Amino acid sequence: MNAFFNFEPNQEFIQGLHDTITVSTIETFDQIFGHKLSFSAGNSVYETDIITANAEFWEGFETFSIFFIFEKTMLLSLMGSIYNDKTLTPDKIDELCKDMVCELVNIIGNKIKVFINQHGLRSSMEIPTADITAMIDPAQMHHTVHANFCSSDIDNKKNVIYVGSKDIA
Amino acid sequence: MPRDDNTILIVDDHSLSRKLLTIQLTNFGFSADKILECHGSHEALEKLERNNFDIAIVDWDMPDMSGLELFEHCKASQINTAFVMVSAEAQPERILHAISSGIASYITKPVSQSDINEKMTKVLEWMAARTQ
Repeated sequence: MNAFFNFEPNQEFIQGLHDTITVSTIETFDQIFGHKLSFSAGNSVYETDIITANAEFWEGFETFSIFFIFEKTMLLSLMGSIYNDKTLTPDKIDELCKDMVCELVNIIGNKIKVFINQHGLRSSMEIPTADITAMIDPAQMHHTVHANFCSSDIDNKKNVIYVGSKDIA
Repeated sequence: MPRDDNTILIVDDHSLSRKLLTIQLTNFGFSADKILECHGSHEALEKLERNNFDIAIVDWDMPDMSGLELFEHCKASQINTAFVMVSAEAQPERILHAISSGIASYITKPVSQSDINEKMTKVLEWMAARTQ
């Protein structure tokens, strides 16, 4: 079993981390956008434009990260309810998408940090960063803890968000 | 205290949070043309020194200066704006520390419309009590 902040997570911790990721992602989208996500058992290869982000946690010299994938089409549809057409110009869309993802990851990441620290750790979280990329297959990342989410409103419940973490157990 | 008379400064480095707060504050009854957005603490400090904002809604965690440091600067300069701190951190000790420093209220992200309705009602009462 690998060390995780010099802490050996048991099955209960791993399940708790998974539940925290699931609940905080669904609640965050519901509270901010009124947008319903649901947990999806199936894996997806993300072949359209996507935004990836990392929530990096550290304690002393040790680090641990949670990796996020967001489908850009879903983000654009949510942005339409917040920004007006003057703001959503082609030259600004990518920066606004990254800003949006960083804030969402900041909110979800802080809830994950609270869960981690409830187990006797004193972790801190870096300011999240985001990138735009083209294609990712989450199954190739071999994340120990991972969760897929589909949208209840968009595109016949295709997966639109992936959250995963490696090096836990 | 009438809601639409108040001038409000929103300070957050994320555009998403600024836009959401503007929408939610307008839904609550504040006037959209009296809400100003600002993306950093240094810029906010200049605006707070030059203008008499009634309320500042400030993200705690910003890269250039924390929301609490901004509040302390304003307190030292005797700026009378009511500060509402917003943060994704919900640690009780952090909230207590902020409240004991003299801020008017604390809201945890993600901020819902009902959070805004509840907290801003209390902030307006807090401001009214302060002037009596």
